[in-house]
Amino acid sequence: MLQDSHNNEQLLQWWRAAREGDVHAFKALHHHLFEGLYAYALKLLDDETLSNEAVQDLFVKLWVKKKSLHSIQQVKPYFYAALRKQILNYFRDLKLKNIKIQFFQQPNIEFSPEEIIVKKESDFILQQKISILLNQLPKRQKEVIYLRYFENMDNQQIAEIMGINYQSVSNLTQKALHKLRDAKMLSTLISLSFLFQFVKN
Amino acid sequence: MPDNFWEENSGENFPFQFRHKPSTEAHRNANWSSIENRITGQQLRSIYPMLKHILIAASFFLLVALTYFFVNQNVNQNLHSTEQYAIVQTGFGEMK
Repeated sequence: MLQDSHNNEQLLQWWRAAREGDVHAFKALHHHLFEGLYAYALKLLDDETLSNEAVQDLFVKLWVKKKSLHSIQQVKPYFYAALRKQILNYFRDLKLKNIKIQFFQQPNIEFSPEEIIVKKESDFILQQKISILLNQLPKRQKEVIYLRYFENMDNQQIAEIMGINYQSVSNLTQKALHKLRDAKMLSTLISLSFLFQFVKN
Repeated sequence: MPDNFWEENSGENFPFQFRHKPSTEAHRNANWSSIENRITGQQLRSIYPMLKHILIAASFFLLVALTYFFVNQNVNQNLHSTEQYAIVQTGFGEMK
């Protein structure tokens, strides 16, 4: 958590400098946030080219509007929220143009086994089972789980990104964990859990 | 596995970690280059309206200057022609 606040301080410094027109600070911001933002966009869009463009559009828009933006306290959630909003607008525009899309109201995150790390990395079956388990969750619960455990965000930050209140995030997380716990796969997971030591956060 | 393993709202007990599909440095740099180009393009485009106004104003002044120059030249030429005509018609003595 201390590391997070340290990171946020650094990000805030870069953001303030960028607002004053410092392109190097903006570049540093991009370099620090790119991997996470791109991965999040890829999760929401499931398309590498579109995800690249989404991140580019986000940074260009923020640069152009930097003077008129309100001051922010948490840089990372702000960028994630802006990216999410931009992607939802993109889908809204597609819908307005009568282009059929698979999802609109809620992006559908898909987890793949390769993204899941267990201590015994060779245990692909276990990774696969966990990913199936996660993919069975409702869309919003998946997104909460993603932001919480991929991006290490807290409930407040997730609430800001998804545009919902703190309690809703808490409820969604609880429900997701309940479902994971109650899932049929759990028995397999429990039996297999003895085979590896869990990786600490 | 403890009973509270899936304890609600506790990330610490989550039994696995996630990893991002690794994005390379080249990928990140390429993404930034595109952003940089677009930012530069945006900056140039933001100057366009001002340049347009300057160009219109410069064109207007040029037009006025050229009009003044040609009209003035024409008047001088006319005056010159009139003087010659007067010289021919009246003779040098009467020109005074």
